[in-house]
Amino acid sequence: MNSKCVTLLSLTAMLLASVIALPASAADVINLRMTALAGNSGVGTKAAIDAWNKANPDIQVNVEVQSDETTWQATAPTTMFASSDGPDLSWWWCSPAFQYKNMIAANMLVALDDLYKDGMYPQGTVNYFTEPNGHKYGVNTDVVWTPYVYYNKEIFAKLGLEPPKTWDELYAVSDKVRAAGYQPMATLYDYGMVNHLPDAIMMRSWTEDEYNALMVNWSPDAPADTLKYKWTDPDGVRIFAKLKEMVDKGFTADGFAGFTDPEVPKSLFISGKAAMFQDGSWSSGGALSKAAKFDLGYFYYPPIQEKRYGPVGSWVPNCFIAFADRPNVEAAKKVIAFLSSKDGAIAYAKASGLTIGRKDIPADIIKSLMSPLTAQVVQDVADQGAPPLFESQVPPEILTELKQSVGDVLTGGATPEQAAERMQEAYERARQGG
Amino acid sequence: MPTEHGHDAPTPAATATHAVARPGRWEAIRQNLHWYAFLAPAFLLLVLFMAYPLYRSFDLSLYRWKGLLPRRFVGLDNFVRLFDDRYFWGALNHTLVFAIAATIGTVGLGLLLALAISRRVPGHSVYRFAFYLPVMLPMTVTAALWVRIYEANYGLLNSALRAIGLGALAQPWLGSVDLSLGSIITVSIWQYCGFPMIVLLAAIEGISEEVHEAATLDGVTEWGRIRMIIVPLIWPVLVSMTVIQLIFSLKVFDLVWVMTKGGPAESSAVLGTYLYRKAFEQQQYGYASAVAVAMFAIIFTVTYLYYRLVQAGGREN
Repeated sequence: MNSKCVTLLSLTAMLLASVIALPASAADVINLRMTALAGNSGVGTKAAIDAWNKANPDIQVNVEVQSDETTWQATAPTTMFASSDGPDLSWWWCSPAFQYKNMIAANMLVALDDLYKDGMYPQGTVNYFTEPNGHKYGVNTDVVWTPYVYYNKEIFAKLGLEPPKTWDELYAVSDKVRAAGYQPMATLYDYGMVNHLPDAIMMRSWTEDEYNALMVNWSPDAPADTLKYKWTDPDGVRIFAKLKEMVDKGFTADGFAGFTDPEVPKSLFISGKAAMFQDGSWSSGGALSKAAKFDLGYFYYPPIQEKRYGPVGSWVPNCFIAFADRPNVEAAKKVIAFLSSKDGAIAYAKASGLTIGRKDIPADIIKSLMSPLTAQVVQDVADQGAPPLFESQVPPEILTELKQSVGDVLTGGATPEQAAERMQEAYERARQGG
Repeated sequence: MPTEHGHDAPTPAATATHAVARPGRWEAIRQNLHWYAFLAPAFLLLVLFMAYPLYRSFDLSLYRWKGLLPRRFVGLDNFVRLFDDRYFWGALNHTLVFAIAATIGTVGLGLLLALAISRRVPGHSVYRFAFYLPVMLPMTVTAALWVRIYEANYGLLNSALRAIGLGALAQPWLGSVDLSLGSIITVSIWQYCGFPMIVLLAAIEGISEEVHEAATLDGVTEWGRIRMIIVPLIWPVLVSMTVIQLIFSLKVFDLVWVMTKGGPAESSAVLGTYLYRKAFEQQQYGYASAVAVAMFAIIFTVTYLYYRLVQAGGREN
């Protein structure tokens, strides 16, 4: 047998072996698709999944990061999630406004009850994720709080300003900032101005009882004793009046209503053209603090009445979910079990800079993962508390009505009284199932 | 009877014979089967992606549906709600304003540019390319670019106005309820006037030189040449461009969505953005379908009426 013949036979044997071996190895590996939002949470999810993939060659997860937040959150449940060839698991906002409740009602999600262990999450988080049927369909990834007013310490120092403690001081700060040629506070219109800012004012204008009642009394199942509280009460009207006052007194940057691209207000602040920037806690340890070439500080909006119900609101719906109508549900649950484990949570938090939602991770580890600013934010919440955000509790039609009413008030299209009446009408429609 | 193309034109007798021998409908179809084969892919695509979704939209508009759970039949309730919905009427009003202003601006400016370039002004080929360039840009890129140009504090437009001493004219272009829609319309005209320009230019250049020479000999002024020669001769093209632009503008979505998302305070919301918000942000798919059906009816009616009106005008001319 000449050498050519030997080579040919060897090659043929190798080819045959690879053809036979390939399907066997491919059949052993389960490949899962996962979707996640771009930004901090996407970075965190990818890092945690990388750790999983390294340790689990038999179940490999491919994370598809969705770049366009607005479109994805609006369309994914009825398109890619509802499709039988959609992802196996996902990072998601588990709140009514993002179809979480509807996905549960449509049996699209897998119950993840067995991933919850005693003492793993704060009771508030457990309560949030426990559905009326007793099951839990999402596992919390992190907690964020909003709104914070980040400020440029250099500009404040140059102008001799201190973070304001009262509304008069707040307006005095914005006057001085304007006089020095800077814009005062920049924020995204669609979220910051007509969503997070009203959240903050609600916590300051309503009492705790009012806040808790108006968080739920849009529902047909609302407890009867909550119905006595209305948007049209003076404390409700005051929310809109205060928002209007903030605009009228020049606290918001010129053209604030045109900030529909998140990069515009952020770049105004980062470039030192605006002295303040309103955003959530995610900016304390994320891209904002990395991009800013100056020292960042933050403060809270001042109280309106003697007792405010927390300086900021908390958002716990960030979670992992697994889809029921998929061939590898058990594998997806195993992945989520890892992501929600201490190791998974730490990998997620380390990469994302977000705050771990679990409560059983030692404080020194948590602190080592955070920026000093985030550590301070967490400490504040521990000291002062943070009620659930209005937007995490209400259905989309209520949230939309709020945004539209606030927008009308801020731009002079409605009075605070008219806006409050519209909110009350929206509540009554929702209660009647409309 | 030879024609200019060299074929014999049919004689009256031949026409009569042809009429007698005219095949039945099925026979005609059979004889033209190969042409129907050519039409079939386009027809199928139309049925699949236009007729069927349209039917489904109408069907869905009769239900209340959140997108995932079973839907509930509500008859014409969604359409009744439309009549009481001030945001719908606002969006409809903005859509019509956008369509009329953008059509007049785009086709009007396109015609002026085409007329100027057709006179072979120095550098005309550069102008032709430069004015057409924005048409080739993706809409979202254009929109994102103009968001930054319009930015109230440090955007290019306001900075330029301030730099030349016209700071008093600086405005929050996209942040004002009075200016946002107009600012978007301006971008639309800027981006798309190059398209009618290029089409109308081709039509103008198709006019025989002899006609122009005769007009010159008769001492026709430039204005007279435009009014009495160019516009009547390119009238069918002008009408087509106007109708195309009108339909295109009535369907506007992406430009508005990227630039303002319909804000502030719904001041630039159009039917497209309103529909999107209702369906995907508020999960009111039945109601959004009612908006879609209304939008279709409005676009169809406006376009049809306009087309008939212009046709009647053309016949009178």
